[in-house]
Amino acid sequence: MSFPAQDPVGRLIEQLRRLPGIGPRSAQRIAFHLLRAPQPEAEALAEAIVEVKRRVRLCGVCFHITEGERCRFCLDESRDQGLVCVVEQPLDVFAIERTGYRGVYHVLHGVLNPLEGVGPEQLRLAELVERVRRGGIREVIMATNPSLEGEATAMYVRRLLEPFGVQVTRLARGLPAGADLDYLDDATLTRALEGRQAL
Amino acid sequence: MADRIRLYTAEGIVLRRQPVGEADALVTLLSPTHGRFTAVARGVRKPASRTRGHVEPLTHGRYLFARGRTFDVLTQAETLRTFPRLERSLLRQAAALYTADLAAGLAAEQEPAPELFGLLVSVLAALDAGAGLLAVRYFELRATAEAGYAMHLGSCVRCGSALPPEPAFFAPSAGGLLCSGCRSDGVPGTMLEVRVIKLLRYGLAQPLERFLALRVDEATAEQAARALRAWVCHLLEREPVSARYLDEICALEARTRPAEAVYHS
Ligand SMILES: [Zn+2]
Ligand SMILES: [Zn+2]
Repeated sequence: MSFPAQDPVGRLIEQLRRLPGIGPRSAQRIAFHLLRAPQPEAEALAEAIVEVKRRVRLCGVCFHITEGERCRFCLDESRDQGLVCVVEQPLDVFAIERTGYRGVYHVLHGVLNPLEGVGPEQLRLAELVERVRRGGIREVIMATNPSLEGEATAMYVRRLLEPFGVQVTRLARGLPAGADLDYLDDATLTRALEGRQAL
Repeated sequence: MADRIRLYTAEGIVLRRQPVGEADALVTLLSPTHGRFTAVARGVRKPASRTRGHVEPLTHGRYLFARGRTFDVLTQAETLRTFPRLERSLLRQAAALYTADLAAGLAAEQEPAPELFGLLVSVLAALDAGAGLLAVRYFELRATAEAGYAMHLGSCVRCGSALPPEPAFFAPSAGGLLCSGCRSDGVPGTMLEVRVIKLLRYGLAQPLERFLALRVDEATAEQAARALRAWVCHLLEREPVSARYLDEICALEARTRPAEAVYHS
């Protein structure tokens, strides 16, 4: 069964299908759930989406999500602003935070993925280089996932930062290969962070 | 009924792994017995997954599959070989991913491909052992030949006449070299130096180790690279997705390392 695209239900299904991990069947299921849901519930969802797009933006320094110009980590002077942890996505920031890390971040918003055509220019890499070039950064910790793409990205960043004499380190080996950082338990991640090694 | 659950094993090299859903991945393999095919690996992005480490791209493993409706389902995995040193070189890793990408583009779906598989394994092993971009040129030459499109370099591809030992015109759409008489204006292609033609012929005829032992100057290597890229793009009717990344890494390397290190070990 498929709805015409101009039909309100068809439009909703079409929009839901664009979300990551949602196939046509799930999109239909969610659409009919919302149809049956009480009015306030559906409106709360719609408002939350509008609100997040209106108020949340990316930090001008580290590209983590924030409501202001700069995120709370970049503004916090008690944190070590010379220690930068580079992660793939904002979710990873929350994972690293749980380990008690006291430096700052840089969110790439992706990872090099040669086989899917994701190249350096699609990530916040030029901004990282610029940040390091301006000085004040002592160490860059590559906390990309322990996957092929994560390793490629870590190696690439090391090469990019070579001319600046900044130390580039990598989370300790022994993280399960192919895992997503935000799935890892805190103890594992803490060990990996403490045992980081020069790249 | 147990006999309706159809299981089969296949050896293969993981060419691609694309996330789907919450924690699943679509895994594309090149298998000597099953050619190129894609299966779904459930839950592999969770840390508790036992399969996860076995489905990273460029892993050579043995896998058990259950027949599924849209995709077969990967149910067990065992790693036979990895190429761990690729993770220490940006250039060689990019080269390895490009060969995997090319293998995916050239292999026929569900058709046994023992030669292409063997070629991929040996080229990945060479890159892992420190070979440079010459290994990629070899793969381009031989993988296209295995797919049924060997570059015609021995004589004019159109009239069959012998080619004098001088630069000749390579036209991908014709399938090889054209003599000056057969080359009509407007046919896309490029002039190849004699040294380049010899290099390509050598690659088509010789085993990998011999080809890698060659010392090739930068201009020859560059021209061979461009001709082979044009050849690959013509056959695939597109540029391999990973080609741009490889080019970018090559450019980065070339700025900081001698060309010698890029083409050779
Ligand atoms: Zn920030
Ligand atoms: Zn001719």
